[in-house]
Amino acid sequence: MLKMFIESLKNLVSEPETIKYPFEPSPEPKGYRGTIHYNEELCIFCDKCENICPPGAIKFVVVDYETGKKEYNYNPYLCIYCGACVRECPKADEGCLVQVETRTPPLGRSVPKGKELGYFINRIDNPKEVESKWREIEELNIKTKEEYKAYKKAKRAQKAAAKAKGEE
Amino acid sequence: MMINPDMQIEEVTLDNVVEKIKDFYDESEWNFITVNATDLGGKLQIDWLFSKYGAKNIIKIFRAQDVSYDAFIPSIVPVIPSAWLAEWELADLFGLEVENAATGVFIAPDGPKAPLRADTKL
Amino acid sequence: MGKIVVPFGSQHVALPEPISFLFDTENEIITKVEAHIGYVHRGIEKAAITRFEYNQLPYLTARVCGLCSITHAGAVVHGIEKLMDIEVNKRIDYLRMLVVELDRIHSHMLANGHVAEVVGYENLFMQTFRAREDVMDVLERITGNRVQYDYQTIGGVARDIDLETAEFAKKKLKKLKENVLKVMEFHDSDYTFGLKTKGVGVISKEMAAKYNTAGPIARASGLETDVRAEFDYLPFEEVGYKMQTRKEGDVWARNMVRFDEVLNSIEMCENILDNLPQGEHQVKVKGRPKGETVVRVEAPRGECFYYLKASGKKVMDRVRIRVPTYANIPILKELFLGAKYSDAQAIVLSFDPCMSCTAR
Ligand code: SF4
Ligand code: SF4
Repeated sequence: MLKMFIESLKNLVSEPETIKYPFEPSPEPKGYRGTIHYNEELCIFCDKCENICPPGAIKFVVVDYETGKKEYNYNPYLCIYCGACVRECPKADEGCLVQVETRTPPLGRSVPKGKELGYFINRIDNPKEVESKWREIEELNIKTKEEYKAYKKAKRAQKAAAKAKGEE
Repeated sequence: MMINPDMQIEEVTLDNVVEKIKDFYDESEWNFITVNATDLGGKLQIDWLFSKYGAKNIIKIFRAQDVSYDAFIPSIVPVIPSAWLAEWELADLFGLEVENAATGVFIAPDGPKAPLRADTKL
Repeated sequence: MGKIVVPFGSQHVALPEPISFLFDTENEIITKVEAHIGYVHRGIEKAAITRFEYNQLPYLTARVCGLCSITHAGAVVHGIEKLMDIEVNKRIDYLRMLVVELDRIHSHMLANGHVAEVVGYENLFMQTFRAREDVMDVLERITGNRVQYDYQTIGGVARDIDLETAEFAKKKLKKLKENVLKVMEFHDSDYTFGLKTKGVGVISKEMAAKYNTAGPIARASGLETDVRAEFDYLPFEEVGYKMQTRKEGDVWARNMVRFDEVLNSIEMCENILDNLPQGEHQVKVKGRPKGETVVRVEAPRGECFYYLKASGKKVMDRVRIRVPTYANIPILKELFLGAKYSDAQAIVLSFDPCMSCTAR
């Protein structure tokens, strides 16, 4: 007991082990798994990241059936920061999808912005809407994918029909 | 390193499983792991699993095939006193009738019934 | 005096986890116990066979438990690799072993700290937790997160370890060892701590075998069972694993077994860091899982068991998780009978219960 008493007294003068967060900043350690950043120019739209993402925090929405253009939507407040998408991405080495070492700020009065976060979060201003708007994206993701598939099928059928006609 | 369990499977029926386990089980030699049910689409496969102390990779499995949802599962608690928890789980999560089992231990009384059955959609 | 029913949990100052016991007591002595454990049932087994594909399972099962997320992710990874016939290289084995052992260290330190807290030794609790911070830092540096490690993936580990990190880990481990020895000394010889823990909640070896006890609780009673010795999933023997047992079987012995294991784990980690084999940290993965297998891994709290069944589809047919606390609840219930109500807290905490694992 006496030994513990001495140990405790030593504590009074030794360096503190804790940080006074939130009054002092709590910096990310080296190699921290933070936000996922995306670069549309490098993306080949293979959907691998969408398929692996365990909570479904990446959703592509087809915006133009004619050209097949897809928009990348990322919800940093659903993401579990596992990094699986980056490991899966074939263009990750070039910097298409990277996990940076900074945290996403907690969802307070404002929403983080930035091109690298994808379309979803940049279109929202009210933090309270993140959840409901994400549900819309999830529905859109399923709907547009099906419609795009049907569109492509119809297009192919059309082509085949035109070809058959031409041969006649 | 790839795992390589030596699974020794012995087929049993619900009628003779208690007796078989009674003959086989020696508490200083075998560790009872758990009772597990697997839904193979309307029919269950129930496994009683044991591992051997001091040996490598040995898993003994007593397996009852084609168990229907309304079967009566006998209890092995007289042989293995710690088995009650795993048995009660069958009653809660698969909705089976298990000897001497209490329900509501694993899921709340107003929770879904028999969630792990293949036809239970949540 | 008549019978008095005392509820213990689901919320209680001494309980870190939601479990509830209803004790029938007579003159402070517990005569009957009723346990409810399903407060945090999240249906993970159901989710694993409906919503998630096999390659997402390591991330899902890592969330079964906050303390041994490494164990659960590791267990499915070992199982799925078996079902897909993937052989990983030595470096991956060693890196996996490193995080598994670091995980054991921090979990054991937490458990021992909690025991000190509930027996009323707040100061020792703080010292233990302070020492624990070092291993948390190492894990955070290696995996990139403090709690959710997501380190093991099918066919490898998420990231390789560089020289700088290895040096950092070695330095921290050295400091940790000093601190552990110091804290262990307090647990070992402190008079007041001994009064509350020695001879309390004694499990004999026979009883441990009869109720199929797992992990440090069994080893504290002299029952020699450790999955690391009974199931080949990682080459522990190569890096100096030794089974730790004690004879006493009381709350104190459980704490001491955990400290013995912490010291052994530190030694293993140092060996791993010194002898890391060369190689890639990921191997090629092809195909889909098919067949059935069982996996046993040694979680900090004891044997963690998985049964996996797949039939070549993206979604598995069955994922059964049996965690160590689940195996120890029957003996816990037995132990309460005849014990004093005032000892119940120390007994529960000495089991290091993890209810979110148990209820899944
Ligand atoms: S880090 Fe994980 S959760 Fe986040 S977007 Fe990538 S795969 Fe999804
Ligand atoms: S995995 Fe990479 S390349 Fe493929 S869609 Fe996602 S971000 Fe684009």
